[in-house]
Amino acid sequence: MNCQDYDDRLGDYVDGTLDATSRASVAAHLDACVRCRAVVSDFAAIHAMSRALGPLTPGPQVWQKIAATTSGSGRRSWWAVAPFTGWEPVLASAMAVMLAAGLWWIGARLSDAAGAIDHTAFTVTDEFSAGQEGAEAEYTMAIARLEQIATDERSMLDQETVYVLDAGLTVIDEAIVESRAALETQPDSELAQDILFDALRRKVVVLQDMVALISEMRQGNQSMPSEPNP
Amino acid sequence: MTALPSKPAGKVRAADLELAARCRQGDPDAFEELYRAHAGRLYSLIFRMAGSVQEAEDLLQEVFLAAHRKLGSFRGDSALGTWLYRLAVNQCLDFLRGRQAKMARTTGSLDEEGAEEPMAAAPLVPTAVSRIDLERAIAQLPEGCRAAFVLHDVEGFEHHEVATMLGVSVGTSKSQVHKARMKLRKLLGGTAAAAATPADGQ
Repeated sequence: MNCQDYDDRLGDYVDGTLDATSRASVAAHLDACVRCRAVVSDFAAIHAMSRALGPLTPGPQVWQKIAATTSGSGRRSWWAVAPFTGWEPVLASAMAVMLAAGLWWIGARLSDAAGAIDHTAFTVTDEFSAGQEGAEAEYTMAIARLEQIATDERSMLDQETVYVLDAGLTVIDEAIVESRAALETQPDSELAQDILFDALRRKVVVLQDMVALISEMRQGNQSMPSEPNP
Repeated sequence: MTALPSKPAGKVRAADLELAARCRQGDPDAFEELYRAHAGRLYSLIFRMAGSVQEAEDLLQEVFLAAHRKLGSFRGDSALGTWLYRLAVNQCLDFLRGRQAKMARTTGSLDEEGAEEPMAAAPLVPTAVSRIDLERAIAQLPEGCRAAFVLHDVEGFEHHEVATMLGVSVGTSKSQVHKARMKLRKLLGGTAAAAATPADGQ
């Protein structure tokens, strides 16, 4: 018998699922065959390494999206518990601070030429003329397009920039989740609607700038400073 | 080896039932608790089967949204982790079948990719292969054999279980895992060396 005759049984040999007779036959072949011995050794190593692989961690945006979708029925937001008790300025100022930090960071890294970002590239119909649902759908589509680019190409950015932008986006996403949750329980709340649209607008701006920065990096602009100016 | 991951019955099962009940009642933290407890394990399975971060994250989201909708049907017949795991496997396989059908229409079946006979340049030493190398190599496997390999070698299912999940014969499961291991040898072992002569003694 040659190696090909044993090939199908090498996996079973490694897995320990051969009966005694077959196992003895394969073992005898392995004693005489360097090639099959190497295959068995490597299969065993691959199996051991694979079983030892640890858990991976999904990105934080996965839970944010799930929470945003399920918040109406499965997640009772603190909006529902204590609506309008002074949280709004805190949320708005947190968003503003994070947005300012993110934009400053990007601005410092963009060259003069790329610095003039066209924030009208993704125009969204005015929410008053389109109606709340229509405008929200347009924002959502614009955000999805930008997020796709930002996700696919984020490796172009250095880790510190990604950290700053992600921190800003996390705050904005929380505002989106909370305001949507509020609208579930209080559909007529103008304040919740204002905050939702404000957060959506801010997210579009941050993502547009992130995409512009990615584009700048891709072009390999040599004039770009390695660190932001203070 | 092992069947679907399960927890010992008793206190843990009661805790699962309680958590599921809290989710159904709209407890604000219960569903997040469920996600935090199981997302890592499910994401690992899904990522390794799908082969890309974006698709894995989309699928994980779909799994938990499906779980949110179906929690009313959870009766505690299995552990909550097992119930979620089945949901994830099914979601993942549906996705892979759809993608494979789409690709087959344009490029032919990936499973027909050449059965290679690589010879690793040197024996694979687990400590010399990083986890990242292995993850990357698994992601490069052809789709058909990757699913069988992940379920068998990573997740620890036996061939008859893999065959049932994938809807193929036990022989096909074995040949797919064999093909995957051969491919991984090549990917992890570097360039192919000259084939050794069979039956050449020690």
